[in-house]
Amino acid sequence: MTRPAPDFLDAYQSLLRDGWETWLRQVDPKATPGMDEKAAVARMLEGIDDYTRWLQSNIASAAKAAPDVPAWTPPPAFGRLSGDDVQQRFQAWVHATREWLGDAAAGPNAATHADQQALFEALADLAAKQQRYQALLGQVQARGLASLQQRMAGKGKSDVPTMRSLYDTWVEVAEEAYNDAALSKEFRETYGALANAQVRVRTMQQDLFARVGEQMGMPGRGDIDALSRSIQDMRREIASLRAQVAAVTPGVKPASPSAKKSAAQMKLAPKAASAKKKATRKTGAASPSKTKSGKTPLASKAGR
Amino acid sequence: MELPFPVDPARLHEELAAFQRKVVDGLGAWQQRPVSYGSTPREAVYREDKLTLWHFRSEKPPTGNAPLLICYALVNTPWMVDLQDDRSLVRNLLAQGEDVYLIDWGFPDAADRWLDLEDYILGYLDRCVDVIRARHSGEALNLLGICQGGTFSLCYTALHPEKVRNLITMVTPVDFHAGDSMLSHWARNIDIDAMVQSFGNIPAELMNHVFLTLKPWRLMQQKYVGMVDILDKPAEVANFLRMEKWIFDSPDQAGEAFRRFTTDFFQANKLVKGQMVLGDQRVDLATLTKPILNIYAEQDHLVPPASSRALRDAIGSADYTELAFKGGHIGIYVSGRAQREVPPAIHDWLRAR
Repeated sequence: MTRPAPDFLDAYQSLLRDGWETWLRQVDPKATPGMDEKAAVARMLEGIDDYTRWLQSNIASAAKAAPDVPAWTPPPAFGRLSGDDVQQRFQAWVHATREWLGDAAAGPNAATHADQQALFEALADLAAKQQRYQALLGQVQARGLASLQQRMAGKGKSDVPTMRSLYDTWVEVAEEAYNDAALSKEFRETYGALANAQVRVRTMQQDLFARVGEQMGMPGRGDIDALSRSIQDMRREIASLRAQVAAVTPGVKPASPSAKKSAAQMKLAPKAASAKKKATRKTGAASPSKTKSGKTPLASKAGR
Repeated sequence: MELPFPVDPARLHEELAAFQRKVVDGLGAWQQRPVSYGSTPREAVYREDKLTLWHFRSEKPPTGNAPLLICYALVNTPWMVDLQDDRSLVRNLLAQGEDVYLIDWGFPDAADRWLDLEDYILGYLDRCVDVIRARHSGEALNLLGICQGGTFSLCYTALHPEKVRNLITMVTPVDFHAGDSMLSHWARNIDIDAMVQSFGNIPAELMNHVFLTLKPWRLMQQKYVGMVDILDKPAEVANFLRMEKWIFDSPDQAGEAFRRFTTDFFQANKLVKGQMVLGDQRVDLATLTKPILNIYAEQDHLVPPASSRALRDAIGSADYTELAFKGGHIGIYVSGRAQREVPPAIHDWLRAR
């Protein structure tokens, strides 16, 4: 790879920089020292109004675009970075990176290069799935807000809500909107596609790391996995053997050495100890402290 | 600007200030001692791998007709049934005269990645049953399965009817496609094989995240806003923190068992279709003839009542009782109503059999 890093890095940095700056401006664009309370409240309400208008526009576009998922547009908090801007910049970055990685690979690093190409495509796919999911959540939020407005509009002029009651009502309507959406076929497919895309990326990253680890002589997930599978097989065998032993050995006590230790540790409350004695007398069962060690507690003939 | 409701800026400001005062004044409540659960005295009578079988100590001799084994879900720890002194299904069952055992599945790690449903149901659960039976002259016991543990208990009882005297299921999914089950709905399009292949054991954090997103505004936001109202009540704060601890102190899910449970139950709905196979045995609910008490929660957002109530038509038992609880999936253990209603109902039902 002697080719210099192309413009996709610039595009990516520019996207980050613009996003950061516009967010900073939005945090407090109009704040001036000494601003009075009324002005502060007015600013807050102005922000709510902006947000409401943005959601209304989303509802409208969702209605127009149905059944397709509408392009998600960021709220006013992102300032001059419109949804189209974000989309275009992201697509430009994807395009530039794809071109950069698209060269046919040869030589000793060919396999690594091919892995990087595949990983990039999986990442781009994940981003698309994520965007689709976010669009659905955006619609849910918009529907919730619209529902809140309808509910509040039904109240009388003198019925001034507290912030808390307003918030609780908003949560209620948001959950209703979410519940309806989350049980839809569209949500199920989108959710599944997103989860599957995340797993795909994760698996590819794991493979890349495993290869690096292998070169460094470190055991990987596959090795651990094989070991734990062996452990489980042995456990099953031991359980089966214990059951067989118990079946032909009368008087095997139903407690294990570890249980004995634990019972001693559990002697925390004085009244618990006396309760234990009573229970032992009642049932006639062996106290764990009296059990034979090293034997399976299984007395049953029915092993697994 | 025009809002669809009247706004009084001064009042809003005052309300915000009061809220902030409450937060500041209540900060001390957070500095109380760490909370814990599992308050009823108990002893471990059996351990295997990560599993512990607990036997609870009662202050009076048991009067029930057989020991009662509680089989909890793999998701979360079982201490929801013994959260604190005044919110304890276990303590109340003991008070009724039951002799109570509980399976604590423990926290799986990498060594448990290949634990399968057979290991849990035909292995661990069966051995716990045998340990208890051996302590009680070999008699059949009463089995109380909770949520996923209820599903396990149904499978187990269908395959080992001779070891179970009576079966109680609580908030147990049976028909995984019945009702508005968000979990089942979402699971349908997920490639579980690939997921388990990638994760190995399924992290508790991932499970918790999924559960929180079932009701995102209520569970991730509103309850914490509401918490400000109780900051000046130390006992209530302790209750809140104890519940938080229980919710988030949860085990990873053994990968293979998770894969099987999700694909066979959530996706393929094999239990109610009579297609579930464990080992080399088919689980046929129609062969269940033991007395069954099925308790479900009317406002359960995890296991819809319709999913639990499907049991009625799936089993062969002529002795089937349903108990509807007015509450949710967690309220059925911790609410005041639950303390008053559920343990006596269980005990009375058992005593009659």
